[in-house]
Amino acid sequence: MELDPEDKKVVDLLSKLKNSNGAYPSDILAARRRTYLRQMANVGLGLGVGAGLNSGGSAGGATATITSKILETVLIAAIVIEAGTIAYVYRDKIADLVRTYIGSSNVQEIASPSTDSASSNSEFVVNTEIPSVTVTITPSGTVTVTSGTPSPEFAGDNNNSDTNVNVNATPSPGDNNGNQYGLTPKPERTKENNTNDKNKDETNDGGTSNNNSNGNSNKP
Amino acid sequence: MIKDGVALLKAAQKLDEEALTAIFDEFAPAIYKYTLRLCHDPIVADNIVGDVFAQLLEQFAQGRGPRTNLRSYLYQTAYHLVVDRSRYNQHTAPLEIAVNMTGKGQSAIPTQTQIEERVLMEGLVTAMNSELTEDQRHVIILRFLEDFSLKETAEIVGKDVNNIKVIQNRGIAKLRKALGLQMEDD
Repeated sequence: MELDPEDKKVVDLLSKLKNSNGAYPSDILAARRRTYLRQMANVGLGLGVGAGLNSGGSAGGATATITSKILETVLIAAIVIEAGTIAYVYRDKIADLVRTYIGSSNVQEIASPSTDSASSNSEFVVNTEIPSVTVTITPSGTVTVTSGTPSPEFAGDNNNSDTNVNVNATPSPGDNNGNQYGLTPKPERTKENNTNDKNKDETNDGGTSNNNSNGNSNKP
Repeated sequence: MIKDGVALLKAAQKLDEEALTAIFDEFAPAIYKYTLRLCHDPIVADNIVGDVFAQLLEQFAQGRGPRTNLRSYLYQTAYHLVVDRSRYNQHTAPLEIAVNMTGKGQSAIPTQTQIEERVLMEGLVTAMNSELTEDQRHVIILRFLEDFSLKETAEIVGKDVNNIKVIQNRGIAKLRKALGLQMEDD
């Protein structure tokens, strides 16, 4: 690169400056060199298999790399074999565990209602059972109330007893708001028979007669 | 003793003890000088030399590091370390520490020529510290004090070769102007 004569003068001065700059103090350089040699030893130990630094200049680094790869492969193979052996030994327990796990995730089955021969015709059967209420009082004071809500049943064509009947666990309320007005059977009024009345009359008459008869006796 | 640069580098990549020691002995004083010019602090320069060679060892241990130009690599590492440190600690000390060392070994009574040369050198150092930008100073140090080629300087600084040429020419022009002004003042 061409320089102007004046620039050349500056460059010459710079060259002189190059030779005049300070050197590394010998004591500090010696301390730094010792530190460097120690770091070299640590790096050599860090390689592990390479057994530190090489003095002969052989391909120790490459050997160390290959050895470490072989060791890694052997370790992985040992782990795989061990895992396979354990799985073989405990295969029954593992199978049970898997079965349990799969079985627990099934959908809850609902038993189909029993087919009644009497309700073989397609008709609406209203179950008029009075809801039973069971009250359980535990010693701890907790009250559990179990109520059975009667639901209308539809008895369809149940000629085939194997027919699958889909039953909703909780039927939609529809128009039924839960009140059972009009569905509760009225208590029948039992009329007294005439005979009974007569008997009653007779007994009453007899009673009176008895009373009369007795009355005399009872009379003081 | 490994003398060839390529053979030395290959042996060092294999973590050869002799090669690694030879690299330190050859380059540590030069790296120290270069770092001292940049940071003006002998203690920091010494620490940076230690960091440079520690990084070199780590790189070699990981199978990385320089493949061709070891010298450029070491200077580049040193430069990055100086830049990293200067971000946290701005040094304003002048470069006179280098000039002052020139008095060692010389006669007690300097001649007229020696006095003139010393004045000129001090003026040059002052101009480098005060007139040049960081890039210009760094490029001039690498080109004329460390004797790196344009290509190597470009690699170390991380710029294009043409850019390095421009920075160098502007730096020299500034120095020439500063020294010329000083000469007129004298």
